[in-house]
Amino acid sequence: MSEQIQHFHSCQEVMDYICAQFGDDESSARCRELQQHLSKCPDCSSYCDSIEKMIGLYRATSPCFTEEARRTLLESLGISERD
Amino acid sequence: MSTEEETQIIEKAKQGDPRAISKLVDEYAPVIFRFSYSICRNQDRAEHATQETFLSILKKLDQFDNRSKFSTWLYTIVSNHCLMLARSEKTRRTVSLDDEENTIPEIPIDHWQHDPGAAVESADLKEHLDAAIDKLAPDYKVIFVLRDIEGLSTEEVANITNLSIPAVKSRLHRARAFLRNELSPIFSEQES
Repeated sequence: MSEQIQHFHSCQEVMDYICAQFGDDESSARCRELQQHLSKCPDCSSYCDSIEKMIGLYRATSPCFTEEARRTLLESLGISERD
Repeated sequence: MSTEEETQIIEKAKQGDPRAISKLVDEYAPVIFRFSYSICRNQDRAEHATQETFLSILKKLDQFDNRSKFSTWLYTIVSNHCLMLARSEKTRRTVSLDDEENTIPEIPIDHWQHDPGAAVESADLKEHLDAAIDKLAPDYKVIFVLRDIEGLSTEEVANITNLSIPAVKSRLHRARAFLRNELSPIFSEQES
């Protein structure tokens, strides 16, 4: 069955779609059309890029769960390392 | 950890087996901590939330019936816990994005040439990021973190938050736009 494509008519529509689908299956026909649009539209491309960078920054500024925090957690659950 | 192995560990943990509980901690405490930190952006509070969530998980473990993924069940508990904590902090002022009146103003699309990877080293930028996140209403923060930071599907986020898929999409759109608008001036400053 062929996929019915609803074409994008404006950058806003593209952005709405990106907002709904960001990170989803990129092999769909609509996603391929989106990629084509992005390659030609600097505004949409910048928008996507900034969202990706924002997510990257958010992830990169999160610390790790430390060994000390792990020990404290196990103690609070009444579990010692020797169990 | 395979699904089969996980099921066995959960069954043992239900019986109070300390080794099984310890394995669940090793597997999931970092996930719960990362999620909690993404919501509150404070290490001590995130560690406390992780502890409280695990205590809650162990109490409710008998209720887990394998109908959903264990991770989805965990996210539901930690999301509710973080929302409860955030709502109890009445001193915090967040921006509600629910009303149409509070729509996010359209700002010109600028180019973020600055590399956020390098920005991590800037304490100033991290402060701005934390301040922007702090302004975002908890209900929106949870959606943004589950979908974009944790990488769950829209369907999973809808199940966890008990919202419809269109509601999740709408909140995600608003949360992204809000954070992007808040951060854009900072990134522009960095470029100049």
